[in-house]
Amino acid sequence: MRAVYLLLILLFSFSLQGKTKDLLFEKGLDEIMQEEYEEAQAVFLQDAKLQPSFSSYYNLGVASGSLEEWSKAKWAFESSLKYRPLSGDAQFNAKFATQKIGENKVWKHPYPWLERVIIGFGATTWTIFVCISSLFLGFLIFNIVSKRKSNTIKWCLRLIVPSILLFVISFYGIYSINEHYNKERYAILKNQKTKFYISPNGVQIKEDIDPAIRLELMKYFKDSTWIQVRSQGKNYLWIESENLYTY
Amino acid sequence: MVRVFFLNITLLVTTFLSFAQDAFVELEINPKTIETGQSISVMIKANVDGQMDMNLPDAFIQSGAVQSGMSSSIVYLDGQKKAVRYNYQAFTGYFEDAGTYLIGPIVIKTKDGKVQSEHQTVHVIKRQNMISDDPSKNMNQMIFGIIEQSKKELYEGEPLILEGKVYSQVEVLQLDAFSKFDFDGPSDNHLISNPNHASSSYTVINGKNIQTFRMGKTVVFPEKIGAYNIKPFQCIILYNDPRTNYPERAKIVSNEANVKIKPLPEGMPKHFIGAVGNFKVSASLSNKSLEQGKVVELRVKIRGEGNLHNIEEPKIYLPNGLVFYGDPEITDSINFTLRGSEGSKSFTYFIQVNRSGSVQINPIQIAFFNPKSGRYETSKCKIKTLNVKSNGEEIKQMPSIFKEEVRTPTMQPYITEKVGVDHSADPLFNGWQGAVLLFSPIMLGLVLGFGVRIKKQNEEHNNIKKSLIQHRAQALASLNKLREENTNIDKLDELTRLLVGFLASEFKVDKGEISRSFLKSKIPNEISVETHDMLIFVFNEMDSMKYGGSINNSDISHLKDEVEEIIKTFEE
Repeated sequence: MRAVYLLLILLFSFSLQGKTKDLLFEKGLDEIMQEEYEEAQAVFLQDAKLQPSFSSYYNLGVASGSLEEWSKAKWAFESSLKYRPLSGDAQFNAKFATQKIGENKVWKHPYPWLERVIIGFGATTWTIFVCISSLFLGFLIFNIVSKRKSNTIKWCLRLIVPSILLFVISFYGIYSINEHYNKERYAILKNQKTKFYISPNGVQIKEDIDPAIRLELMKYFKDSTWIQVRSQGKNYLWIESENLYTY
Repeated sequence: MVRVFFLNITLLVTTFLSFAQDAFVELEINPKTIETGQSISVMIKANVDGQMDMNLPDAFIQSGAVQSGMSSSIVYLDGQKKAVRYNYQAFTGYFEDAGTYLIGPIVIKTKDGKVQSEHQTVHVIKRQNMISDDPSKNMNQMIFGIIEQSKKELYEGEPLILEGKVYSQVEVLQLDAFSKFDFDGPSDNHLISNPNHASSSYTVINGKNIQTFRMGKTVVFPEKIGAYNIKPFQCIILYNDPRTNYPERAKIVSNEANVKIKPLPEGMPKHFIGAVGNFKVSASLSNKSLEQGKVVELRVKIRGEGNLHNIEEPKIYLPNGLVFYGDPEITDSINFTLRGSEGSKSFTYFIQVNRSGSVQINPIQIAFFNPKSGRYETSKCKIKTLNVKSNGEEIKQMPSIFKEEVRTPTMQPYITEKVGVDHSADPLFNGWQGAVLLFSPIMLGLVLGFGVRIKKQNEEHNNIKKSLIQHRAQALASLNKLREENTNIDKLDELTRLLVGFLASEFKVDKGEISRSFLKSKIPNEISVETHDMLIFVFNEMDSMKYGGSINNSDISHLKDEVEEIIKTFEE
């Protein structure tokens, strides 16, 4: 009985937590509706940190764009594409923000089409596929190895190849989604005055980087205070992380 | 008949007694100091007949009919008690203006001359609001009226409920000429009950059962902040006077109430629609799917209580590509009750949709001031997504009143639904632990498969072993039985069959396959050379006995021992 109460309390507290997060989003909406963009920006940023979602990043982009903070807007829109890579509005706005930073700049989607398709299916789909295929494959292998009746083994041998295929694909799907969500891959300069270094705290170098371009994030250093990026000229540069928007 | 007789007798006696008294006329006023509008009663007593002339000021307003009759009283004249009989006339009235007024004298002209009364002075003062709003403090008056009000202080826009209440300690026969209280300031007033109807009930005040009448219930919406008076209500009451046992009329003027209208507190939200009370908003679209360029109706309904009839239309924030087409239509269904104006008010907006795809109209939010909680509150509703089918044409504005606008490219608008929440895979499936977890069913299948396979093999091996032991035991048992056979031929045949059968079972072959060459082929893996030699010896001996003709004279017991030895060799 005590366990049931404990479970109910836990469920209640979880539901309250979700409600609080939604309330933050609602508050952001109120602010943006009232054209209080600075407040909206702060609230959506907090919401994106607590419960990252397409909507919170997207609205953060709209609020930032309304404040003419185009680098931040570009980062927010491209971050929103992380959660819904096929969203037309987010792509339009990311392109819009890019062109605001530098005119006639061509904008490209940050994620390759295969990744977009995989994310389009969703983590739940891949999880279900990989679990089912793994269990089924285990069952088939068990039957084959344990030398069951010859008829069963015949069917197991027929099914094992498609099962392996399904397992491999869905395993790759899970792996890609984990990589996609858990790894930061790109960086955008916060401003044009950013300094570049050969190594962390090392020698400063001069590099002309177009602020409208997204940089490829290579690695972190010292508690992520420094980030190594690869410029469009394939140069490896170290930048203080406070000068970058990463996603 | 009896009543008429007694009445005539009484009149006769009174007439005789009157003739016996001195002529007099008296004027009685009660009370002599009154407030403006307060009722006074005037009584003229006389024991003579004649033409009466009475001086009444022009400012005096008579408020009821004249009542007349006969009465008597005891007076002391020259130290002697005398009964005085007289006729009387009584009526009530009041003065609207303050001042000192002279009433009388009364002059009655008779055949013997004229009889005159003293004049009386009445002081009329301005209203002092001598009636308290606490009924228990007015119990010195037989009848009094109080304005009942829902609040003494209220916020701008908040409804004020007013009602007239008459308290009577005597039997009231009739209520007439009700003149309503009046809010002394700009206001929007709505009667809740019929002003010509009064509801009666009893209430206990200071332990006394008092009859009360309620009338003129009104909801007032003050329009400006400030302190205001509520002017008293008035009515004429016909009641049974317990002193005279005759019906009397009296004008009742209630207390004067006051009320303070406060401004709404600071921090008014942007979505405030001038509503004071408690409200809820809901919205619906006429269509969820439509073609680009068409107009959709958005109906926003506000329900609640307070000052619903005075609320403004809610502000709708449209995303890019959507424009209003004309002014909204307003319909309402409002009742005035004790809670103010109550019901619903609907605003229908016409929106032209010039954008294709899924279009989300922003949630509608209203803010109102709730006097109960003393703060601003909001109500919000979401609107379903519109599916707009592209017409493949350039966006055409409806031919209209709208100004031509030059559009600069802008971002797509913000979204109102929280979608695309981080659904990254479960942390269980992250990293090498995740890989192990996902591969575990496969590995488990493999391990279990091998386990089952080995187990099966062991079982088979054990079964074979068991059957071998069994069949050796059987062979030895059969060999023991052989000793009891009668003839040597039978014994030899049985011994041969037993040995061949044993070897066939041992090597898992048919009995026909057991031959000398077969046995030789089993050396050295399955049988040793010694065993082979023993077997060949036994077979040779058997053959020589069988076909040499010496069988009946031979002893085959040594052969049995040889076979037993061979079987035991296999056991080892």
